[in-house]
Amino acid sequence: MSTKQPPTSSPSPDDDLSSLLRQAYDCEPPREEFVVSLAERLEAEFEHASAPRVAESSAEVSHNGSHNGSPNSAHRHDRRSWRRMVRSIAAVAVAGVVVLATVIWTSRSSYSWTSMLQALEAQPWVESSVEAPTEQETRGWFSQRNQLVVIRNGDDVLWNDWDDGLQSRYRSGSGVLLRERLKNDGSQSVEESLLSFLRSGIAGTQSDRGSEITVVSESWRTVGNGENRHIELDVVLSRGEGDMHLLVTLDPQTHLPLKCQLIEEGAVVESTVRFAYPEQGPQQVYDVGVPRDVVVEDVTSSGEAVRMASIDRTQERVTDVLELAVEDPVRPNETPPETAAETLPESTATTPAESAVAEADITAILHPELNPPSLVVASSDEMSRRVDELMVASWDKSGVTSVATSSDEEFFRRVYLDLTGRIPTVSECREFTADMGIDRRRHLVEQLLSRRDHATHLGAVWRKFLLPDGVDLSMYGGSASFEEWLSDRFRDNMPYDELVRQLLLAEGRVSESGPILFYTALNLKPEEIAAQTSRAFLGIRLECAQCHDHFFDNRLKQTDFWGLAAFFAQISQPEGKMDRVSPVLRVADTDHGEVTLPDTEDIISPQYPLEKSLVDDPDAPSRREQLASWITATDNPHFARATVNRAWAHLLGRGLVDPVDDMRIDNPSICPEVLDELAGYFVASGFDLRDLFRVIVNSQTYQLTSRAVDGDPERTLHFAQMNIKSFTAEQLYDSISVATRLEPLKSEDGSLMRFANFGRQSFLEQFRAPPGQVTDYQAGIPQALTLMNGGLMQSATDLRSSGILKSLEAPFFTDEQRVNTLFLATLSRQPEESERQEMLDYVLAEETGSPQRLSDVLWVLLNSAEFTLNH
Amino acid sequence: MTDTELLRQAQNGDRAAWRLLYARCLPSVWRHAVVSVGDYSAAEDIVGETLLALVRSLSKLDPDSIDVQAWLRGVLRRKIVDHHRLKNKQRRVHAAARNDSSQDTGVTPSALEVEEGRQLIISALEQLPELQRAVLEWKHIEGLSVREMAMRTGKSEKAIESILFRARKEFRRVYERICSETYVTGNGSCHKSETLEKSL
Repeated sequence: MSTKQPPTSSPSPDDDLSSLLRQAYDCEPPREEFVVSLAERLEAEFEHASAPRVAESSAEVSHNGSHNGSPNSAHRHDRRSWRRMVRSIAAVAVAGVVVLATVIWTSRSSYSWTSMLQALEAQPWVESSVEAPTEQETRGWFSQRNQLVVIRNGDDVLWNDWDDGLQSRYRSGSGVLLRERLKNDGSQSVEESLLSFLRSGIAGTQSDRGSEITVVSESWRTVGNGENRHIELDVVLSRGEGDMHLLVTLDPQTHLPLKCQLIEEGAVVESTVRFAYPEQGPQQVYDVGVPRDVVVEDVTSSGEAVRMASIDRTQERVTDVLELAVEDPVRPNETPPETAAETLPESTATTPAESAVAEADITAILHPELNPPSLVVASSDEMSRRVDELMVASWDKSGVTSVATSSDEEFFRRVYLDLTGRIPTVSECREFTADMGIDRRRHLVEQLLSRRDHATHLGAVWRKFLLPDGVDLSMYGGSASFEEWLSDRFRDNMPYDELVRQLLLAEGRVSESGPILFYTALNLKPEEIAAQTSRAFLGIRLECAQCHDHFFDNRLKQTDFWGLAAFFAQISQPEGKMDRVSPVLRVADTDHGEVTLPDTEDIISPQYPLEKSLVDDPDAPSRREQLASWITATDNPHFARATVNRAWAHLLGRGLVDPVDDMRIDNPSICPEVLDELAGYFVASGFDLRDLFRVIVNSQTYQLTSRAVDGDPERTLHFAQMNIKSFTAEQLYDSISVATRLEPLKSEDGSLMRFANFGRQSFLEQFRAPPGQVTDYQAGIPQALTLMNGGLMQSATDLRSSGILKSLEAPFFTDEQRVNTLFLATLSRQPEESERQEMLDYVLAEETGSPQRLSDVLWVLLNSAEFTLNH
Repeated sequence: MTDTELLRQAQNGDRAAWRLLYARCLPSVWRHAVVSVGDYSAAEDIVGETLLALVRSLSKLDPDSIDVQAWLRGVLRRKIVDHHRLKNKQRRVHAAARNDSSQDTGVTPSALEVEEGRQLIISALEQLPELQRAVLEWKHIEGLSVREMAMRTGKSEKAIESILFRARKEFRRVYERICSETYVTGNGSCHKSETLEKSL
């Protein structure tokens, strides 16, 4: 039994090597957003790493300029759309096309489209103008450095700022400047993403996504001689709509374009785009002709225009406010939650207070996830129903059909595991089965929420993500003491904001158990504490911005990380390594200590992440107190959402945002409405964590079955079917213990001995799962063998030590009742007829060996997949 | 164009060459990161750091003496080890015992076996010489033709076919050895390798 057999999944006679290797390396391709972000980052690094120069590319291209992977010829016929574009604003944007097409195009040995692009990229500013006598003046500006594309057609202005991700549009005479977020809908190829800001320049809108630009063919020739010598580059580009044939005149020395003409049906059209390369370009929309008295309206994602502020033509300051709002979002919590997205009155906002409101609102609309959660006042039952309504709407929207509600048996076992961390006992199963009340599920939930086991279970769950995995705290009292401290707070149903405050403001000697271990486990290092604080309480992986700006969330800068770390810079810190620190070292706030950016002497002041406002008040309480107040504030946009998401993930197997500590713009919630409203409810309830659990567990969504006739992954992804969760190590030990009555229950309420239980502790060490992965626990060969043949299993199934087996020896039991009881004890259900018969056949096959055979049945049940899964 | 030529051109500031080079490397680096850490989010970090290491080291690399793919895999392995060091002690012990660094995810015996088999194959492939591993991966996972592989490596098509043949043979030998070291069966051999022989 202890011999591990070879896997059955590896090669079979019918497999060929391809399928073998593909199976072994089977994985999803990288996310498009990741590829795009990585490409951008690598480009920037390459730029930095290599001296600016015009490179001559010759990678994999035929000499006449025809490129591998040329576009589908079906796309080459529609010249009309291109004609339209070039004759209007788009003519100027040819400059943009030229500048920004940073895809992997290949080129000839000397002059090429690519070499021209690279020459343009190196310019601080590129200015273009259209010579077209019959049309109004059109000019454009582009700056790779500033990530800006500006087009002015007559008095109409289009301003695309890719650095801030904003597009501003002004139509002559409208008096309104419309601003909206530049879309990044995730449907772009890598090449398109690199060109996305270019495309907005061509089309004047964001609606032309999905068309790729590639070089179909190109050739060049020298024209003139001496000082008049220049290069004519003849290039055919292809986009989704058709081909674009350009004749570009290049400077032979710099490769920069001097002018560009469109060729249609073999003839040069009238419009000619000319280029200039100034050192300076427009800095704000008013520099290109937008009147300073325009009203600014931000367009929400639903297309609704929300007026933010009117600009007093006499007040330059308001203009500054608007710029600040775009570049330096301020704390949105200065606006009451209920008014965050309301339309402001049209009156001029010239007072500082009104301007501040405008700033906050702009930030809130541009980053909806930064809105403080709107308070939701409701009873827990109403909120449960609301969750279900929102989920049903979400399923309808996604085209997902939910499964049926779970059976009582299924729900019963699940809710025990989720709320108390163990399976129910046989008597609890029978008691619940006997309850025919219509509210029996609700009553059960109330009962479990008030149990000590619920508090100790939550203590273990929270300890896992609060303390770094694997840290040895034995010399400071052990992580169990931290878990116990948490459990006591959960038992008393301490408001969660208060619990977090106590954690963040912990003081005392490092040897003291309790909240101070949060700091001790993180070595009292500001950067480690900041990273953990951000993940645990804000749901943000801020440490990804520790060494550089965040790769995939351009809002998160390196200063955000170190600004948060600065809040923890003024606590007493040990010299040397923590494991050599005297246990009597006292952790307390001091009046000194700063953090600096790595490899620099730049001191970073405390700064709330994602909010550029600096905290620099010498009269303010300690830095930690300021941070604790900010994190736990009712209008903090992250805290409540992150907590709700963790609770949801614990109960439903996966967060509404997954992973739970990676909440960012490009990792949106499966159902944002549920996350927002539950967060609003959580805040309104006074951060009542127990009530939050009550709401979720009583929802129909939670009570859906995990069974399905097909394995549609979309269904579990959208929570239209319960995710199956693996046991945590704690659940596994406790459930074996309960199933086999290995240990006596602690008290009258049947709670388990979870602390100072050394057998349990050593078992957990072996099976401990990484934090935050409730659908995963360590189940490799050592664990599987331990489960099959380890000391725990031997004791649990030994006739002398197993409480359940001893009790079944009573003569008044029939073998059938014994088998039924074993099923109830382990799987919390009665056996199906076929299962019962099979087990009985086995038990009765050996007349004198019945007890040992019952032990075997128990062993089989404990090692079954059904036992170790929370379904 | 070979990887070596691309590297040389990238060092000279040729952006297109650099793009082509990392576009070639990305699929393989991604696959290995994912199967090694079993966590897409962590894999993104690791892949990002690995390719950044390449661009930052561009000027220091000697195109004539290094193999870009091999160099990248060395960096990747170190990043993966760093990643696993952050995991708990138990996981590290477990990974070391199995001579690989992947995660287990299943809990049922069948799930364990599937994962086990997968890791054996990866482990066997990882132990091949770099070029043999690369050609197997290019051919059987990325679907490259012999001609394309020849272009990448600067070798003749005949040479590639020969390398492919040796790679298959070596893969079988390594796989058999790992199998016999990992499992103890009734006759002391890994019967799975016999079926593998037929597939090769």
